[in-house]
Amino acid sequence: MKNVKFKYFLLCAGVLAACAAGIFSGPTASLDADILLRLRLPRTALAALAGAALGACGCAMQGVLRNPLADPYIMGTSAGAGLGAVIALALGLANPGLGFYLLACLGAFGATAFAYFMARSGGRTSPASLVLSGVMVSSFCGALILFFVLARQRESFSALIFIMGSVNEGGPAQLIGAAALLLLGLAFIAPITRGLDALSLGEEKAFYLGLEPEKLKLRAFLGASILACGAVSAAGTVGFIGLAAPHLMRAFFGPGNRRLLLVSSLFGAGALMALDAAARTVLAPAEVPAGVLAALGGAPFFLYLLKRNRHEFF
Amino acid sequence: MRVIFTLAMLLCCGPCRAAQSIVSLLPSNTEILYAIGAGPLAGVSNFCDYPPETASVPKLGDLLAPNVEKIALMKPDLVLGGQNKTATAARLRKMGVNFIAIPDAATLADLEKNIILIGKLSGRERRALELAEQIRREIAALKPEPGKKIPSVYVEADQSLWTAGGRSYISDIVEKAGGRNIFADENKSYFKASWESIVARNPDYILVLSRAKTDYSALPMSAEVNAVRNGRILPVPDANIYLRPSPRAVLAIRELAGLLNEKR
Repeated sequence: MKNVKFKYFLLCAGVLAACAAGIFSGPTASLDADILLRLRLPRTALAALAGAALGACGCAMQGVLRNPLADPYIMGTSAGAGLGAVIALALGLANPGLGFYLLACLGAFGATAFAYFMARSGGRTSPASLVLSGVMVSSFCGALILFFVLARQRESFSALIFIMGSVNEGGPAQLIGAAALLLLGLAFIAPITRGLDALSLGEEKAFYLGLEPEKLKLRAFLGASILACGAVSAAGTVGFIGLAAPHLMRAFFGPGNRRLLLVSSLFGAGALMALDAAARTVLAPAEVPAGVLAALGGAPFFLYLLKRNRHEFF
Repeated sequence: MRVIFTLAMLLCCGPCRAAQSIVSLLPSNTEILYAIGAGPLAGVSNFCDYPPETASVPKLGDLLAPNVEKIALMKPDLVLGGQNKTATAARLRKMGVNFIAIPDAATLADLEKNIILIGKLSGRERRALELAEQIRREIAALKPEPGKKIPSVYVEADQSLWTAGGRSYISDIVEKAGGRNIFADENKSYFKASWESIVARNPDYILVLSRAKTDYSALPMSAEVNAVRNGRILPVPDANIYLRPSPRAVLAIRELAGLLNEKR
């Protein structure tokens, strides 16, 4: 038990360090209170909210699909949310706004559910076919996004940034929107974490334990879609965090979904805050999309861990 | 019979050879070609929309993805492209097309060089020299009087804070119009800036070259930025005259100089 407390301590210290990095480093060396409080703090907070949403979303998806490869990026959830977002923008719906969020959520849910039902055959879903159909839906949505963007021609650069994932520079409305979506998504997922634990025994066993697997899945997908929508509206389609957060945390905190949801969110928040700090500084005054850094730095790190602690995962 | 046939061929081809058939795959080069009287062209890119005569000229794709088949079938004497010459040039040259890459213009001096180069290639060197000289003269006449405070300008090339650095053509346009690009010291062409670095450089004006209606006042600390506080956000009717290195540069400089003076 003491060991777990130490791990919590380490995680919180890491998140705080990332938060400090987000606030105290930036494209200008300035430590002016105005810049720290009015520019970097809101942006770091937005990165934390989006990162937490990604971590929680990944945790929910891996739990409900009982698939260590599931994540909002691979399952098409992020791309679906991105497609919804691009359509919303084309329709003139502004980013922090109810219509925008609705379309992004709808896109996320549609893409995820579609990928899931495509992969399902005879009441079973194999991990491989799930990932395959997810990748297909993801690339289809990605292609549609690019098509929309190229058809409009002028905004192609900014759309590219959106697809690669970069934390927005938003006002309070953006922060409130992201926080609301994160809380709403967690409200969907948190009560069913025990159910997800039971589901890990298999759908049939979960059914005999008095659960309704289909309802559970619907609820998890809805929650994951809302979380993905929160992440995408705040930071575009950032990959990797949703996949890595639950994985790494599972290796340290065990497979219980209740605790995993909390620590994955914390880890996601810390990861995106740190990545965004780097995104703003490495090529200052130019900005690198955080999603690019996530894949650049995160993927090799993840592979290294995978190779080292192979037996500890899932 | 053979003699008659040969004569007929000569008659048909004679007039064709006299006028060069030229294809331009970049809007900037198209504008230069028409300005030095090398028009009408045999083909232009999908993006070429000036001068209005280009509307009736066959559209042959763009520099990155030209319609190679169509161009090869037209057998033009000359195809002008931009510096992005790798794949496009190789594909066209393989079909026996005389493709020539015109270097990217990063300054107005480059523009003058390109005008003269295109003049030489199209056999209208004298007119090109005159045009280059005329542009230089007109820009010199627009030179702001010394001693005046030089306003700083943030160039919005696209929404999401895409802007232009010191190696971009637009940066030189801003300078010739009497302003200073806040990112002129950045050795880059186009890049995504961080909002914090824009706030720190505090531009007096924001020159909007995209059609996106960015709401700058919604960004954090925008009240601290001179341009936003004083409402000096300048949309322009035609961004192409600012972005294309073409003879219309003079119009852009005159327009921008006017905008920078008017609201001072």
